[in-house]
Amino acid sequence: MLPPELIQLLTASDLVDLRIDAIPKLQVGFRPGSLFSSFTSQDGEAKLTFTYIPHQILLNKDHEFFEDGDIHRHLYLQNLSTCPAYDSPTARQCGFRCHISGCSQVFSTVEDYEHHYNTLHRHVCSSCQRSLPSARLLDIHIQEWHDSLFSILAERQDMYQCLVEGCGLKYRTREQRKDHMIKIHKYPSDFMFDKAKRIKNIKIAKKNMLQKGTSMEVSMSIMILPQSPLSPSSPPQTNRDHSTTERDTPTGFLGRCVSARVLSKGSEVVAGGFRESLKVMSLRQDATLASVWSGVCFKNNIFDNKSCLFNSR
Amino acid sequence: MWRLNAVRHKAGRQGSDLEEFKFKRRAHEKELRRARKDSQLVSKRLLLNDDDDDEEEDGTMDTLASDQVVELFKMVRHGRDLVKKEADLRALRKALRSPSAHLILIKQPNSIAILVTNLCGPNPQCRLEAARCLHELSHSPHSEVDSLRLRQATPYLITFLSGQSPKFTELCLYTLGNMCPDSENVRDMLLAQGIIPALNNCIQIHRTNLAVVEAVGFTLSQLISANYVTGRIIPNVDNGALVAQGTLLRCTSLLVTLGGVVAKGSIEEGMELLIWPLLRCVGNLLLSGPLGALQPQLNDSRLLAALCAFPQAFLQTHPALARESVWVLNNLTAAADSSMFCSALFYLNLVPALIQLLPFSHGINIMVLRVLGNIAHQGREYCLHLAQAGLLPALCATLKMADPEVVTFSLEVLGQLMASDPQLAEEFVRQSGLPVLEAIQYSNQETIRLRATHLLEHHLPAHCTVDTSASP
Repeated sequence: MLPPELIQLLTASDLVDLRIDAIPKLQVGFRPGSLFSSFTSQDGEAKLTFTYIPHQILLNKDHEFFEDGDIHRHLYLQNLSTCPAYDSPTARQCGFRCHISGCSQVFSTVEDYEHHYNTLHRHVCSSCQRSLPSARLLDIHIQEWHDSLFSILAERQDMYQCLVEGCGLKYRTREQRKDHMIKIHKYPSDFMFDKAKRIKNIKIAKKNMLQKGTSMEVSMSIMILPQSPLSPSSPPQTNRDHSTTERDTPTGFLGRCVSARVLSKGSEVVAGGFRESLKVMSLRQDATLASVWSGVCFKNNIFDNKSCLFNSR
Repeated sequence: MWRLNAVRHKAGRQGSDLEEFKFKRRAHEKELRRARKDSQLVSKRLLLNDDDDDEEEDGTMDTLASDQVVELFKMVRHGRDLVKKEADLRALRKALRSPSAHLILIKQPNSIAILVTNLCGPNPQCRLEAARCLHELSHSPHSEVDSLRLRQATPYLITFLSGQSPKFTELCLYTLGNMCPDSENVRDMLLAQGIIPALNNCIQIHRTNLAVVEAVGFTLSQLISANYVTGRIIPNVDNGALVAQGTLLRCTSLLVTLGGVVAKGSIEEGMELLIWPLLRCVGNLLLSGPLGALQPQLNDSRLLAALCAFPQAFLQTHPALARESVWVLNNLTAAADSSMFCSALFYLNLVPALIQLLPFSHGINIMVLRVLGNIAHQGREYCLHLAQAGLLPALCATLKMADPEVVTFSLEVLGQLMASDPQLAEEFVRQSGLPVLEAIQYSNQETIRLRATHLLEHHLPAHCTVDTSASP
């Protein structure tokens, strides 16, 4: 039950040097300045974001922290603690909760939580890897951030739709929409309305991938192979740069790149509804298919030069 | 603890009454919790006698009718033959096992005075039985049988504490101990009658007799445990004075010894009753001065090992004890000069054992996160060592937990790690921590959102930099 070195330490003979002040001390550093950030709270005050400061805790004998121990002692005093089936409180494992606002489902194991999250909340933009909580928000995100047509239209019409499902109102600017959501729908002012997309540094990403070994190199070459029928002939502007820069690992790949609607079933998709899935995917995500599917093939060990990747269409 | 076997033996024999026993016990526990919340948690002890077991087997333990009790008492009062009187006293004592007899007895004129006479009489057996009678009364559930009624006996009981008979002394101790919580007047009276010097004397005389020493401890704790008492019995002793007398050293040595027992796997029932108060003493005494000044009394590295071993050993049976053990670790690692203890935790490879406690609620994971946060705050070297010990994947799990306090603390610790060294941010991403952070950005708790967002915006590795200037 106890790790062996713990046992060894506690049953050590007196010949071993047990003094704490004989142990070499690690170098102490300073609290990193970057954590001293502050934000403005609702009442206009500046407050620190990270507030934990180490402090010793003095506990009065009547503190509720000591309740269980006191009860146990008094049961003993009153000769009640030795019932053979003494059912004392046992340690419970902490449950898991989905943190997406409005969801709040609770799970007893992390696997259940992950399944729930992957099924319902894993909507990731293939262009910028922004993770959105729902399919609708993903669509809106793609439209507002990765569609060049959108910005042209937005100059003349109200294009920024309210994010609340069923509202339907649209606004000329992001700010107007934000105001509407705060005023009418009572959203907090720091809600993630429009997060900027992330642009990846291509060089470093490539370097990271190469470090993973030959499997990734091969995968990469597939992605940029010009003869591949799936490589974009005339991809949308914003996507081309990103198609070669994805991934860390094939699995991370899988999870992060494509909308959950398509790939939540993993290998089943590859085996079965491959073509179907291709049709389902939106135009905007086509350009990255090559990278996506090579990753899928990798995960499912069906990689060869004549793999489904080339035969699919 | 010497009584545990006796009581267990009794409980086991009840067989079909076991369910009823458990039910009663649970109800009793609820009562105790309520009493504690009202600061009314007080217990009296009832010593069991050897011949009680025999009676239950014979079936002679019937409740006597009230006139039978009166009759017995009359015989005790008027009897001349000492042998017969002893038998009568014994019968009376057995009758007093049932609380209804208490009321009958005290209604008899001079009942206590008679018992006291026998308490001081020439026959040792009569003394013993008289003491047992008084003991039963001191444990009475009836409010009419209060300490004031028994006050005639106290000067004698106190005197007998310096006597030589352990059995008798023990009885006197528990009787006095039971009387202490009843009222301030009783306590004042006992103090005036010299109970403290008597207790001191008693423990000197009987220091090799564990039962008597335990009884002295009980009586003293009953005396001290009232809230208003501290001014008078203990002349404002601050913890510094306790430490100066070597209290911290003694308590920590004991904890180390107990840690050794736990490590060997030979945990005896009731051991937790000793570990508990030791942890509390050490925990609070650690605040009695700068840690550097206390360090000579804390120099045994096995103390840290013991504090990590107790949670592992008692997690399933007494989770509150696990939590209190980690609390002591917090007080060792949170002070301005705690770097020695934090370094020692790494050197002795104790951190993985702490990380293993993170899945558990009951306040355990919060306290562990405090300790880990304390260590991380020491600086970059410490953060790197924490990561080596496997903290990052563990945080990926705690960030998903239901308790928002756990998540917030996890973010604090994660923040320290990521801000101390970009390698750690990279490692976190490799452990698939990024989607977890992104998910909790949408939490309905502002404290969680703010921290998660800050980490995502400022501490991600280079290939995930945020570009807020670009537009589609």
